[in-house]
Amino acid sequence: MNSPDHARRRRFEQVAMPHLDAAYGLARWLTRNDHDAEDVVQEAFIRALRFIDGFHGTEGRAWLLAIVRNTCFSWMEKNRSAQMQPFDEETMEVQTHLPGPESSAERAANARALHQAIAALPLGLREVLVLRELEELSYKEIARVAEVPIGTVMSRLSRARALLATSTELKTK
Amino acid sequence: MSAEINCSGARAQLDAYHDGELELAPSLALEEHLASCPACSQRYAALRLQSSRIRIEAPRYAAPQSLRRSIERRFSDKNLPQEKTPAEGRTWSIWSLPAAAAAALLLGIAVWQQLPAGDETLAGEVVAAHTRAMMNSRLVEVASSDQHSVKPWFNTRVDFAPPVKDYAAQGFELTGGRVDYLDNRRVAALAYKQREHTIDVFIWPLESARERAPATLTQRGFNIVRFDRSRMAYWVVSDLNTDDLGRFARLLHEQK
Repeated sequence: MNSPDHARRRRFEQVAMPHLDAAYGLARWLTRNDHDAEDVVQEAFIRALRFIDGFHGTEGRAWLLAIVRNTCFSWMEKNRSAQMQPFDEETMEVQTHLPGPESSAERAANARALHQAIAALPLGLREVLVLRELEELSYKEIARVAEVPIGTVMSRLSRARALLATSTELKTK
Repeated sequence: MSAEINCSGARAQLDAYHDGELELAPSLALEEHLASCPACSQRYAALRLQSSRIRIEAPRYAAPQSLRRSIERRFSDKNLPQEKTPAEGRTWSIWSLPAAAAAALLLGIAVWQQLPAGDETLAGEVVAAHTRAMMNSRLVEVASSDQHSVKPWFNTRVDFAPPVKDYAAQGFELTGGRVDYLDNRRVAALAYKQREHTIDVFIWPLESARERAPATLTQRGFNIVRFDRSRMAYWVVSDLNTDDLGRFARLLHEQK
C-alpha cells in the first residue's frame, strides 16, 4: 500500500532537507542565538511539512526560507522580552581597522567585527542583507521571503550596506 | 547609445548593478558613468570589497548535528517503515500518518513497530481467511444479529465459548458467525457490518494467560487489529478505515 503520507514525506525530504543549513543560518542570524535558532527551525520544519502540498515551484530554498523567516518573526513576537535586550550597545563597539596587510590575528579580529556589525543591524535590514549576501537570493526571491515589494528590498539592502560600511569603517571617504 | 546619468542617479543604481539586478540599458549607462567618475567608481569598489568580505568572513552557520539528527528522525522518509513488494508475499504498512498515530494513541492502540515472526505469518492467514469467506459468500454459517442465538450455535462446534455481542447501537451490527481455521486449529469467526464494510473477528483460546494490548497493522489493503485478553486471542480484520476499526476493536477489548 503506497500511502500518500509516504509520498508527501519523500517530497518533503527532497524539497526541504537539502536546505537545512540555509534554514538554520537564517534563523541564527535573525534570532542571534543558537538555542532559539534550533527551536525556530524545528517549528519551521513542522510548518513546512504541513504546507508542502501547496508548494509547486522549483525554488525549494526560497520557499523554505520564507517559512523560516515567518516562524522567526512569530517566535520573536512571542518571546519579545528576550529579544528586546540591548545588544547593539556592546556590539557597535567594533573595530575601526582599515583594510590593508593583515596579520592572522588582525584578520580574525576584523572578521569578528564584521560579524558583530551585521548582527547589530536592525532586523529588517539584517534579513535582507543576509538573504542577499549569504543566501544569494535574487531581489525577487528576497521580496517573496520578506513579504515586501522589490523597491523596499532595494532600499533596505542599500541602507544595510551603508550602515555596515559606516560601522566597520570600510567606507571609502 | 545610453542616456547620461549624474552621480546621484549612479549611486542609486550601484547596489542593483552590483547584484546583477539592473537591466542592460541602465547598466551600460552606469558603466559609462563609472568610467568617467572617480568618486562613484571608488564607491563601487568599496561596495564590492564589502560584499566579498561578508561572503568570505561572515560566519556560515551550519545546522548543529543534534538538530540535523532530530529533524531527520522526525521528518525523514528513511525512518518510515519501508513497504515490501507484493513479490515478497505481503505488504506491511504500519501506521505512520501523524493523524492515524494520534488516533491510535487516543484509542489506546499501540502502533505496531516490530512484528513477532509468528504474528506476521498469522496476520497473513487472517487476511486469507477473511477474503476466502468473502469470496465464497460463506461469511456466516449462522446468520443472525441476535447474540443469544449465535453464541449457543458455537457450543457444538468449538471447544470454547467465544464472547458474542452485538454493537449495532455503536454502528457495528452483528450479522452472524462461522467456524474457520487459523493457526492449525478451529476458531470462532464473528461477522459484523459497518455500513458497506464487513468485519471479521477471529477468536480462539490461548494456552497462556498473557495479555496483549491492541495493536494495528495493514496487510494487502486490509486493516488488522489484534489483542489478547482473558485467555483469548482476538484478530479483527476489515477493509474499514483504521480509525473506525480501532474504535470497534476497543469495544471488543473493553467488553465485560
